Amino acid sequence: MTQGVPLVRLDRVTKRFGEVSAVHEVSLDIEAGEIFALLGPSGCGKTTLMRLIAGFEQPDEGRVFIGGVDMTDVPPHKRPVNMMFQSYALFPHMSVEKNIGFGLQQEGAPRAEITERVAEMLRLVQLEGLGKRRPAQLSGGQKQRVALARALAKRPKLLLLDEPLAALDRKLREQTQFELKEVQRKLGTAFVVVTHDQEEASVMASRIAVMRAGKLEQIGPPAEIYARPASRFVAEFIGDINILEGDAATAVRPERIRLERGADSPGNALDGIVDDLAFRGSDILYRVRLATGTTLRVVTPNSGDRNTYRRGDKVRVEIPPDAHIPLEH
Amino acid sequence: MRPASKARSRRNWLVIAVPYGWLLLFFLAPFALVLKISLSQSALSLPPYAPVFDWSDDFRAIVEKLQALSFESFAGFFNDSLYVDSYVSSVVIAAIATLLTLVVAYPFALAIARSSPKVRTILIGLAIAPFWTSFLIRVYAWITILKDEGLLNHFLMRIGLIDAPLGIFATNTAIVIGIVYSYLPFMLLPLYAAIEGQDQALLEAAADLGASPWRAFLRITLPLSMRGIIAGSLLVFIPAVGEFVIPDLLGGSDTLMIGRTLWNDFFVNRDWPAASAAAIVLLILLVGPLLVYERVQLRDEKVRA
Amino acid sequence: MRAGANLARTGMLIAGFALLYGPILLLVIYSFNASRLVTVWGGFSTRWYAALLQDAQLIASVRTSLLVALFSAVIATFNGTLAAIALARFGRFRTRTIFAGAIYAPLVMPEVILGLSLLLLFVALGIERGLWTIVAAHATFTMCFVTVVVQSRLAGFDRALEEAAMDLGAGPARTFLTITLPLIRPAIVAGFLLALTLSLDDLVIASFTAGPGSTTLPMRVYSQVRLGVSPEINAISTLMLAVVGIALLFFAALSRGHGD
Repeated sequence: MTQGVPLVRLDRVTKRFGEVSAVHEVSLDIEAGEIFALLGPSGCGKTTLMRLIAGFEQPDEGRVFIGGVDMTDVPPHKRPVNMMFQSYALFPHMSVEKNIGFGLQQEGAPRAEITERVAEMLRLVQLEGLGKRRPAQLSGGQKQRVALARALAKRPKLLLLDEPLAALDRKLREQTQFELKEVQRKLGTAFVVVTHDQEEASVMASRIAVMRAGKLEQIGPPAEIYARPASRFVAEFIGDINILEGDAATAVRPERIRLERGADSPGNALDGIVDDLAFRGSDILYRVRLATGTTLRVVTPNSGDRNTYRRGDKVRVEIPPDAHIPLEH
Repeated sequence: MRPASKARSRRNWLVIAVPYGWLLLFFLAPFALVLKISLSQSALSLPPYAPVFDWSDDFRAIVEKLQALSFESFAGFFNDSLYVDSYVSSVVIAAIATLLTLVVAYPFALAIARSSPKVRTILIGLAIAPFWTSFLIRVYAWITILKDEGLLNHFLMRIGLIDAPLGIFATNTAIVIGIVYSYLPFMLLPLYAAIEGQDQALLEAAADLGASPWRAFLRITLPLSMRGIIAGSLLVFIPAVGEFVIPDLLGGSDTLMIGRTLWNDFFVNRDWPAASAAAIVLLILLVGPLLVYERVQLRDEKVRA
Repeated sequence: MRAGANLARTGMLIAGFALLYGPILLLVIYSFNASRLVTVWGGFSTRWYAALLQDAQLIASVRTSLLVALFSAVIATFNGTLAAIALARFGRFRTRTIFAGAIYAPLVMPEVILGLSLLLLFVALGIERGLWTIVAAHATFTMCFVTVVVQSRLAGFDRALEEAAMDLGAGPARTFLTITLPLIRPAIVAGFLLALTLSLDDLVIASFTAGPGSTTLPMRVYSQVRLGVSPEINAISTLMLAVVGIALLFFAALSRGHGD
């Protein structure tokens, strides 16, 4: 691969199912070695976009380049890209070893090499000793690791992960997120993670593409998207937000709003009443009803007993000028 | 079309070609022939009909022949009271038998579906098992039972319930019994599938809301098993209308069912056009139920996909 | 209340199974009756079974039936499996409706119609009727049963498994052989057995398509049944039931062992 050529380039790709455009004129580049997240609600086209890269779907318009080569018409089994399926898709009639070695076997790799690579992969995902088991004999977390090992066994330049953590329970999910990043750092493989979970995307990805109704809404690093969402949709989808309607609508993140007891203070402050509150451990969420009738969500860090308000308390809300995010639509 | 999808479509046709060709030759072409022969005149030859169309016919010859087509067999069909009677009595007997099969099978299927999950699969397996045994033998078994000097009459006379044989054998009643017995598995399986798939919590919810078990059955279980009832009834009714073995073995000499009439026309009277006409009429009779069945099948297919 | 429901269920189960198995059981019992009369028990005897062994025509018909069943089931399984793949995997293709219709129709089509139409075809093509015409006819009407069984297995099958194989570098043919085929094999075997059973059982279609030298077992039994109830038929029936029963037990045991 030559310098300057992106690992994957989608050039105005459109995919229709009947009348509906699942993906509409999407162009984007994915660089070698990065973790790229495709984020959006279900039905936004993120899975279709990933399947277009893998080759399971052919675009109606536009081209798909992988490593600078036009792969639009290349079937999936001839693309240098591997995928980890949401359902894991482990072959139930094969052992863990056979599953992991399947891809290499298709390449016609010598048996000794396959054995060696399978052992290496089992070490990588910390499943030594389970090679002879059948998928049905594994826990959910173990299956996920086998799926990862199988997809990485051919050392692809790019790994596609379809909702990689959706089938795991909450506790396992966080741990696995960091393990996946660890594996990615070790191998230097580029990851494309499809997810509907903005937190997951933020934890894992170096760049996020937010999709809506088949179109790209915004691409950028997580912090940038959080701080400067390009649209109202992105603002509402990523993190918690208050929308302030006015001459021009603006948005404010709940943690940027400050609360004070109902005392006089200058600046752009507003009076309100604490409608309800939720103790969330590390922080507290307040619902503050303003005199104007608008209800704001305000998050303050939990710093012991200080500054805790109760339901019905009169408060004054202060929004720093730079906390306002202008919204176009 | 893109090269990739073109290649895929070529591969698809390779897979379809053999079964498709087979069906065209052995299923669709024969129907065209039945239609053709039903429109020709019977003749005392072998094969016993004068052909209407020849493979060598040119277009004009076909047009001429079309104008001179013989609807004799069909006219004969509707003028001859034998045919009309067998047409009507086939439908009546099949309908009564289907209804009775449903009445017998429903509580049976319900009892199986409401058993514990482990027992359930064994029981439905046992209930379907007779389907794998010879149809002919199962019908034959009822001759032994129903005959005047058979086991049923013998038993009833022995215990003094009757003085003379019931005389069920060689009547339409015997045919109905034969159909109910032989087609029971066809009704049981769709009913069982429809009842077993229901969430038991629905009945608990109904009971919680104050419905008696009987009401819960009428308002919940029965409507939700309607698909099974329709599928099972069609699976019994359609083949029963054209049934040959059961009326032939259990029915009397005066029993008229269209499958048997067709058989006799063909094998006994050697009137091929008449037999073909009977087949076409039987097919027309079954087009409605067949279409309903297709629709149920295709919808199932969609649901599964 | 609950006990009452349980009692009713048990009663229904007993009545149902008595109805299903009673007539078959009577047949078996009377096949061992020494007396020729149906209603009179003349003591236990196996003389009717011994008589069967002398019946050369019967033995020939068993042979014909087995050959027809085997050949037709192989063809039906091949065609039916391909058709199931087409219906389950190719989405909407042109003439799909005709294809699906032609596959599902024989499932419920009266046998007299199928038999008659196939006979007319063989006559029109000038093919002499015999073993092979029965094979073709049986392969046609049993194919749809294979399709239904295999298709339902394919429908309940995670498509991602096939995609995963392709993603890992296996071409379409490779994917089918290493992934799809092993996973639908139980359904293919079940379809084959179903086709085999239906062929062995068929009287009507075989009667239309058989030639003078190719009498199947059901045709032979039928011609005897027409003459009335006889202990010999009871004995043949019992043997046929025994074969099916043993086969069913065998496969039940096999599938149970597989499940563990």
